[in-house]
Amino acid sequence: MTIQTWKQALTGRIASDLADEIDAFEGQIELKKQGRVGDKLFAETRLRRGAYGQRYDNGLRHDGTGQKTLTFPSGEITKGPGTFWDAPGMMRVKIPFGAVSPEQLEVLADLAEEYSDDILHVTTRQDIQLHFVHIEDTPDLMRRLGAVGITTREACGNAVRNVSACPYAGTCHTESFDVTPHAQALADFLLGHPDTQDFGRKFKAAFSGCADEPCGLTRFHDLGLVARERTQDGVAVRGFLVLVGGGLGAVPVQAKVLTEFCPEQELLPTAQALCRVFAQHGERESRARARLKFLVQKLGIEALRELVAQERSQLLEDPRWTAHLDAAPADPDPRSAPSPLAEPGSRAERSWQGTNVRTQAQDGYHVVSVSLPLGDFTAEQARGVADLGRRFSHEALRFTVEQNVVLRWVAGADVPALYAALDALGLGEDGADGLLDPTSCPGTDTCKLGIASSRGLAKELRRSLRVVADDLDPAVKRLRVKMSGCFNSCSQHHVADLGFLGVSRSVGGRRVPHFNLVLGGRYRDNGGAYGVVVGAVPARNAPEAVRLITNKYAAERQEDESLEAFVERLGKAAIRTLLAPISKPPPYEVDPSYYRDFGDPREYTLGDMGIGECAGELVPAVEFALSAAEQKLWGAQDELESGAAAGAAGNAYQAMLVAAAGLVRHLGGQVRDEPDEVVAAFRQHVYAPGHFHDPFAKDKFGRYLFSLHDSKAHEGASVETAHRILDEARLFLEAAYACTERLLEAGSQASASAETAIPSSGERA
Amino acid sequence: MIPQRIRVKLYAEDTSQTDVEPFVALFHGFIREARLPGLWIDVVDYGHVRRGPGALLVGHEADLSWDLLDGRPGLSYTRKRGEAPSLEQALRETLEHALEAAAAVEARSGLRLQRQGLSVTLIDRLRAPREPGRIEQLRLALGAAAEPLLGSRHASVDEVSPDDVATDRGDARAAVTLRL
Ligand code: SF4
Repeated sequence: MTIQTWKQALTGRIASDLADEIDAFEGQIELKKQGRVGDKLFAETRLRRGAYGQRYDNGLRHDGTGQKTLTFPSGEITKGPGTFWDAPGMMRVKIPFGAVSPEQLEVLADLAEEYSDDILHVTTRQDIQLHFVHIEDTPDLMRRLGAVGITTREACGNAVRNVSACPYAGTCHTESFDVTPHAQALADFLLGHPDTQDFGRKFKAAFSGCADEPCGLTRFHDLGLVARERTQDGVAVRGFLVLVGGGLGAVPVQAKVLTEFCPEQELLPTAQALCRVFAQHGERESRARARLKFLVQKLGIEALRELVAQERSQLLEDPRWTAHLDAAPADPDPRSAPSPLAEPGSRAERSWQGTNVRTQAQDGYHVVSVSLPLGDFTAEQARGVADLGRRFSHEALRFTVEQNVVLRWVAGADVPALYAALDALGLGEDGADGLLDPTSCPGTDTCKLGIASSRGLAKELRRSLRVVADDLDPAVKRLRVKMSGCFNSCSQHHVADLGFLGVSRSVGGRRVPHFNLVLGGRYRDNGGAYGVVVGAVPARNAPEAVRLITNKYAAERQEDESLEAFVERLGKAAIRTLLAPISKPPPYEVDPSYYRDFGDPREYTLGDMGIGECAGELVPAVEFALSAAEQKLWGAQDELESGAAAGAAGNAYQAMLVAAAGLVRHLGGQVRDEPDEVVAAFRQHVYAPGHFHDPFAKDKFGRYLFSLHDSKAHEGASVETAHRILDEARLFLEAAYACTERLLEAGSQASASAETAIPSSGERA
Repeated sequence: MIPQRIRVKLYAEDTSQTDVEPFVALFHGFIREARLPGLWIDVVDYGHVRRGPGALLVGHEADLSWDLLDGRPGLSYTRKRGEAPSLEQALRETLEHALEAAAAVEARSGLRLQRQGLSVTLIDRLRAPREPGRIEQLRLALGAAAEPLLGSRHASVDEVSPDDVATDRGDARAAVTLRL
């Protein structure tokens, strides 16, 4: 029989339950095409199989002159609400703790060539993403992955996402023990588990081998697990510090301690019990408040702890809870005998060794990081790396949250040959994980929610910094920089030394891509502290902002002072003063490049395209109100910094009121500056008619004001509460900017009398 | 069986043309002006990836890129889907579209693309596996498909990797590439 399909070709090579699941998914695809499955159901079905939407899948795209319709051949068939069937999508491939064998990597490379765009993209949670994939190609893609033991199941959707872990586990000097078997066991155990199928939102778990280093970033996960050893009756006992309810996203929350020490045999049942609590008590109605962090906030950690204990006591014994503990540890089987690190053969190699090679706990072996620019590598490079894995490592490669890949167990004497081979593949760049190697989410390149081009900024930073790399202070070179295309924080910018998130501003009637600069994040301690927004700069000036801050840091830092501590010492007001000269774009007529995003020749402005020249000379009063609100929020940040938490929270609340009142007046409402009145009028004129609704976050940001107004949580706020209120106020203000832009685009400005003429000097942002 | 993906690459006469940025703008213009037949969706800048897809114009039926995937700058047209009654016809259509895209790029950029030494890659490990019998079939079909468009051509086979990646074992898994 001639083999005609991948299904035939791979018969018997895929685990039968996985093969059945993929067949069932293929059946769903057929039914959807026939119109026999609803949009929402099919969307969640494909998401749970890792098939995600991509930008422009609603069939609309601005081509620089106006919004145009993409006429997909499949006509009106959709693969989810407002998502056309033929529109290219993203396929997320779950790679537990980023570990792939050479063979698996080769298959991923094949798939990138045959179904995607030749590129494998490493995500900030150790997954692989393939872009521009057609939905009808996904079953074969899944089969080919299934044949090498990879599943895309639950890579997206309201499910347990990829279990991440420190990529150095098993080789690290500071770890309590190797968390790899536990991470694998948890990933296997929770995959498809009945107790994880009914979540209101996604659930992310991460492991770390120690508390102090950043590698596991356990503090912002729904479930963070940090390896610990205790001595009981003279015997070393392994277990985990269990953290719950952490998260980034719009409002970052540090995880709380569920238990200081969970013995390793209790790890899986504890996770199962937590999942049951999340499924039963988690928010179902409002997606925006459905993550575990909100449940922890609502119940309090004590009550959550009790619920988890109750659930745990009722679980039926499951042999899988401890099966992995009895298994013999995996043999790394290195390719070469241990040897000291060989001398580099060139200056470039010396630099690369300095940043991309680290010693293992096992003498004579090294972990080598391969810098993948923006997490991208080609199919051909991937095959090359797989081959190098076989030649030099003989053990699974691991993707990292910094969007790189590491080879472990490389003997010191093999390092120069490995460098030469990587360099020949075009993968010999130094600077892994540092300033020269920024981490970026997909942003406007492919993400539907992207506001600004985070990848464009990352490319520009790489380009400009590599030119001056030799002159950079080593402490500056080590800084981590991360950029997200929107507030959802997929790059994890809150814990970076220098974080950016994309926002948009209206300037002279046109939109200008901007980035909020986030400083004060701490990567160490598993993401131990979150940075705060210190100001916004036009996207074009973001590299200059990096230059200004890093120059100042290099010149004025005290010995061993981290950027976090430096920023703290300097104060946010001083940072804002530093950024002030670059915080406004020039007028369009002077430099239109500010009105485009990186790497995109189209004008960034969408609805503003039709506004004539004189519109640039008129500024609606609402923009002044937003500016005043901005000032209040900056003041709040300064107060928080100086320890006046309650005052800071009060000012943040005031900032929201000022912005709200501005919007009310813009829409023709009359209101005095009295909180009850402002809130009521905001509800009536702005919120209720849907003006404030974000296309994706819906009414979430508006509710921040209502809830704060009702709860009066700003009064006597603790530092933690004040932080949350400031974060919420920042998002409220961003939403107010977006709302204003939408209103201006729709031409719904109040009468011209509400507008104030100013010179067209571009002084206003 | 007809391979799902077929890529035709025409190489730049000026081999220093490795900057992809001008092509990002050019391809945005192609979408705006509907310069080429078919549905064209978006442009991606992969200039940061060495030996990468460069400037990529993503379409529904095909992709177009100014790339350095095999280390040499050139224009690739990658057919992604379409019905064709025979392998020869699918190859001919792909060559036609590639030549049409090449003419459009030349007209806008002033660059010249070679009509000799084209590479044709069959990116489909199910329908175009690296097997001697199958490759010979592909070679003959390609020669026949090319004749009306490029004159009589001999199609030769790249036995291993399109380029010498610095690995010892050769790139046995690479898709099959033929030269015209
Ligand atoms: S941060 Fe925003 S733009 Fe970036 S990937 Fe996440 S949702 Fe998309």
